[in-house]
Amino acid sequence: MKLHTPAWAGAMALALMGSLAAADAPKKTVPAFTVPVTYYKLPNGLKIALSPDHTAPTVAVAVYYKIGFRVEPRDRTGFAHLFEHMMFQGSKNLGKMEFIRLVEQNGGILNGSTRFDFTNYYEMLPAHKLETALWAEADRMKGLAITQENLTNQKAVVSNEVKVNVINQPYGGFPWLDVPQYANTNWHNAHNFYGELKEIEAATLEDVSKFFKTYYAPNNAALAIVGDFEVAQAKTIIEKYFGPISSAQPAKLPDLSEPRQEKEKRFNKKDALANRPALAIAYHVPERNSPEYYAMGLIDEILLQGNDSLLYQELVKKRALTGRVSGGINLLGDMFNYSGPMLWTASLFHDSTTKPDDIVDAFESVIRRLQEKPVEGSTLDRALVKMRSRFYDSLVSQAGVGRADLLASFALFDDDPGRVNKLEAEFRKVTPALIQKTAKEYLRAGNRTILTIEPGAAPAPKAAESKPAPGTK
Amino acid sequence: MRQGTALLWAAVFAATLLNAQEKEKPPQGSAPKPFTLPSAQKFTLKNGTRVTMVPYGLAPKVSVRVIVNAGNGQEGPNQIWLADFTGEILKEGTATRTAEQIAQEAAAMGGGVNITVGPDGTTIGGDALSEFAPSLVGLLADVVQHPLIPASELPRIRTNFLRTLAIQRSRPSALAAEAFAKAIYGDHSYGRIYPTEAMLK
Repeated sequence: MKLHTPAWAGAMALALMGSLAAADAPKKTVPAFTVPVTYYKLPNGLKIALSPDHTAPTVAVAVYYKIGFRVEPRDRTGFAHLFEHMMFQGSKNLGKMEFIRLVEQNGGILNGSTRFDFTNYYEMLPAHKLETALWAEADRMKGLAITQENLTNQKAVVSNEVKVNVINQPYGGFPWLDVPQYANTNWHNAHNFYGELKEIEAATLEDVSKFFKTYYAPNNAALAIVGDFEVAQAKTIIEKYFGPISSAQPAKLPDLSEPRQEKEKRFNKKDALANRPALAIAYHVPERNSPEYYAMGLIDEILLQGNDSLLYQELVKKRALTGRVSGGINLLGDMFNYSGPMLWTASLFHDSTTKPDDIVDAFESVIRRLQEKPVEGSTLDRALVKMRSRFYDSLVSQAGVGRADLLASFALFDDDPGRVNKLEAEFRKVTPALIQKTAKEYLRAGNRTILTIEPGAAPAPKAAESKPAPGTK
Repeated sequence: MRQGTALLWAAVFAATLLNAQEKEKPPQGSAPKPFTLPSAQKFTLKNGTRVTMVPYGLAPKVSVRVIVNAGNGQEGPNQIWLADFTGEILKEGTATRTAEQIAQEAAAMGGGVNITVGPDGTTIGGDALSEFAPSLVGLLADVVQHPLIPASELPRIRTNFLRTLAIQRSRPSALAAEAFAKAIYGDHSYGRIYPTEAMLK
């Protein structure tokens, strides 16, 4: 049934938006897009990355603390996330919820999040409110002013969050919360980081105070500002509010390493709320910043990102096993904003008439193509273009928050926010031979964990509560 | 908490009660900065298509959206998700391009062809690196004007929609949205957001 052009075209509007580059594309040695970066540290250790962007009169302010859920206390799963909530409950000059009201009444939007290796707090505001935001962030970096009532209230809020998002949802923690627990063996990487309800409930004010003193110090933090501001003026305001904050003894990090996985792991989890099966496959990725790491980023583009990707073409189009294959490196961020062992995960939903083994076979057939011979130059080129395109977006997304995320992460993990302008060159170094080598080592069957979700009620627990097989180290 | 530790809290944390009057006021900042919206270029093609072009931002990227004034709102009571089927099959090739070619061409520009169906419109769009803007417009024009609509792809698309429907019906937010739409819009196409299996089949 052909669409008839005249009647339809009259009802159509075309919208085209963007900045048009010069007619002849620049030679491929210099990135098409770089951003200004000023980087320095205060005497108290606070790392500061400043990147002006005068596109619109707005500013993004982001404070990143180098503590995520990998390193939360052993008998307090979910604590790093609960603590993130407490940061909004009051500081010396801002009562409960007043930080939030301050930002919103000044035309801003704010949020925070807890990830594997950092907890971040950020707000987007009209540019002329930069000083307001910096004063407020410094106030809560200096210390919290909270009561038992605040803590009791937030424990209930967080427990409800876990119930709404995980326990009372079909596929509640799938795959982002489930898969790391099955794929990893070191407790720090393999525990339930949203929190067991009774451990969230057990948190005390003393826990909160200790956590703050250990991790929420300027020498364990980075401040990133992106948007319509002047560097010299920002430095003056930063010195005024953050300069006087004392540093703390740096925290000692535990061993976060994962042993090399030698044998494939398979797990099945029953889900009483789901009515279609699901499957996830995860592989441990190469060490961050190694040549293989950059190759892995392009492998992700080749295999999994977009409808030109090999897994889409094979599993969705050719074999009709599913409608979509999702995933990537680090399901709680991207391949840049973490520091420690990480997984590349692909997941999908399917029908009960499809056997999980058929899906794994299809998956393996695609991976073999990367392992048996070097990819075509055109495939690698396409992966690089997709990566660049995605990366340029993140440099301007969310009124500057996307860029602030990269700057703060690179400050905390690499002491070099300038890396934002160096990444493209690293991806350009990846060759088809390196892709093949990386696929052979990191996409081998012994390096993978397969998790299947089966609709139906789990059998009644035998002893205490039944949990997914956690890491035990 | 013992008495001893209670006193320690007062020293470590600022006490909210004592310092109520001594709280610093947040600084006001400075005067609001002016802002002029970039001027849009607007024109109409001979066939009636209205075009808007807006220069914006520093990233060398372009976003192109073709918005057709047809969506779920046009569906009859027994045709729920017909607009979604239509949107989905638009990706399955044109008179001169296979589905895989469409996907690869878009990817080589740094994007993909995305089709979103809503109550009031269907948006066929993509993002690309700026240097490919004319090519992206050409690709989307082909998809939207010369779709192949191959019958061979219908069974697979149907199976996917049946699965999506089953999964949505297990999600509390989807069930709430369905009840809410029905309560607000009643017996109107806006009030019917999920089909029955029979309708899809």
